[in-house]
Amino acid sequence: MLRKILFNNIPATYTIGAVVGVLIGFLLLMLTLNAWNLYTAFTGSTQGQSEQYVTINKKVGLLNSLNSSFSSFKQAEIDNIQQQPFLDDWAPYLRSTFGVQASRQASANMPYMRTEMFFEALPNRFLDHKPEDFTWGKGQTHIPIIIPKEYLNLYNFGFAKAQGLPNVSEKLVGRFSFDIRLSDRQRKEQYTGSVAGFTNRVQSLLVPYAFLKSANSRFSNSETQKPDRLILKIKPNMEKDLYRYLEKKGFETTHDAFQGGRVALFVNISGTVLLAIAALIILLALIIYALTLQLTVQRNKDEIYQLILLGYSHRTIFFVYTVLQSVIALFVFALSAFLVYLLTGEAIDFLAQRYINLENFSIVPGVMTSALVMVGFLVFLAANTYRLVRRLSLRGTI
Amino acid sequence: MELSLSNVLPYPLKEMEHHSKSFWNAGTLQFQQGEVYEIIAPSGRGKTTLLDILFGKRKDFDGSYAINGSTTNKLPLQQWAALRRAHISYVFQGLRLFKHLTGVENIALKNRLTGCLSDNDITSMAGKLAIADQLHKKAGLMSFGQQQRLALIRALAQPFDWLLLDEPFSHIDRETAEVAADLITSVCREKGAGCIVTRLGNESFITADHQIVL
Repeated sequence: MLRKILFNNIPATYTIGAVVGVLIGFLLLMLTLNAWNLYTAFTGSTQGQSEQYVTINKKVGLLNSLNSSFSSFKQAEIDNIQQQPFLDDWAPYLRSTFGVQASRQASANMPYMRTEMFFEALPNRFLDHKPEDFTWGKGQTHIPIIIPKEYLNLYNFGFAKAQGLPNVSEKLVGRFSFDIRLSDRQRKEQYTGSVAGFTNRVQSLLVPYAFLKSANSRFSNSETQKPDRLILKIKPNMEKDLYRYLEKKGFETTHDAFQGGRVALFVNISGTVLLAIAALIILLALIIYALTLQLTVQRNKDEIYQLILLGYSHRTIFFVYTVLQSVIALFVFALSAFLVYLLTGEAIDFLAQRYINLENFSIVPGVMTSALVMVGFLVFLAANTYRLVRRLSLRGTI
Repeated sequence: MELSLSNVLPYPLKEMEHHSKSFWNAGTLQFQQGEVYEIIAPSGRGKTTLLDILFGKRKDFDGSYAINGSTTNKLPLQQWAALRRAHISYVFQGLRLFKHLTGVENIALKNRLTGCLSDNDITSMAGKLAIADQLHKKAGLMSFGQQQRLALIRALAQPFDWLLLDEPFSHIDRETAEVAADLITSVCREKGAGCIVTRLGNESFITADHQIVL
């Protein structure tokens, strides 16, 4: 009955409107905080930092096209790169020193295929996505291979379309196995191979490091190989220094690698702007809500005073308002948290499909921060309501 | 419970001229529990103001008001609430009913604070005051006279040492007024409570021990 009296003179649409406003504002707050955390996890995650990994090589000019050793990095150059402040980690690409031929017998819907190719290998820590079966042990005759995602796209949208062949999915590609022959003038070895996974970071055909090291030692006499390409892991926000260094030394890299830095800057700026806009909307929503509550108390001031004169304590009246605020807050919090959980789940799936696994991300910090904001807001509302009800009880008017 | 006024003069009455017998000249009186006091004055002489002061509703006055010898100047809200629940009951001139609630709900609002009356008590009182068939109507739909009787039942739905009545019979016919006055007198006697009732100077329904002229 008290609720019937204390919320009598306020249209339900006012309250519903204010609650919806706060819900939107609060949802926006949680989403923004989680988007920010998602972005931080993305830039902080070693797996997600594809833009922080750069493959460099020397420019192919007239001199090194005549003599391939000119395109290799000299020890002094490598030492110099190692001393650069932007460098976090690095590794040379290990390349095959023998001929590789892949072939597949004709089947019902595939023609006979044969291609000359090559292998390269990198330590696993440089892979953006390491499939579980991307390993090799002595005696293993099956070679798992990681190929650039772009190759599958080239096949699906270029080759297959032109030849009238069916498209293949990532999973399907993994099921095809083919014959692989390693050979040089003295040796021949027969293996089978299949595509174990795809990479967006490395534009090469990658095999397990242990396999290539072992095969190279059997096929080639020289243990040491001068690397032509290096993969570098760059410290966060040091792309500019790298770019300046590469320009000075005349080294090359894929241009796209630098887009990451620009994208990061763009995301930083737009994220900050979004955060500011969200903060403004949240502030407005909270102000509207607080004003609606104040209006509710003011419009029911006669009723509140009548209750006081009947012997009701101002604390009882304050309690009725505050319990309802807490119930609304809990509802808004639970609904926002649930929606944010669903949305961030979608976002993580979306990124995972692009090999960005954000293991460090959790919605808990964002939700907890929002909960703190909500508690703060509730305390503010409660203090304001108490002040109004007390003043009303003392004076009979506000 | 003893209510004492000492040199009390409400601010709005300061500028007015008061005749020689007016209570406001001295503003001093001790109300003894169990006695019936009648305040008689034409409109605008401060009858309601005096009751409001005794009920702790108004604090805009010179002098002091004490309950059982303790001044009420700085009595906290919680204590006023406790006094209004268990010691001082008031039938306001404006009645202060919740118009959108039914008669039963209006009484229940007070009764649930105190648990003073049973459903039978309420029905019996309403029967005596000839509003038993009106109790389930919204208060706003009752006549003013019916509302006055409803407000009286609500005021009786609590324990009290003092019952303040501000022109309680102004809109009630003579016969019902006499029944109401009997009810008030018997309840007050039963509780050993004092009663302070105001009237304009017209017919008196309650036999008073003391008369105060304003």
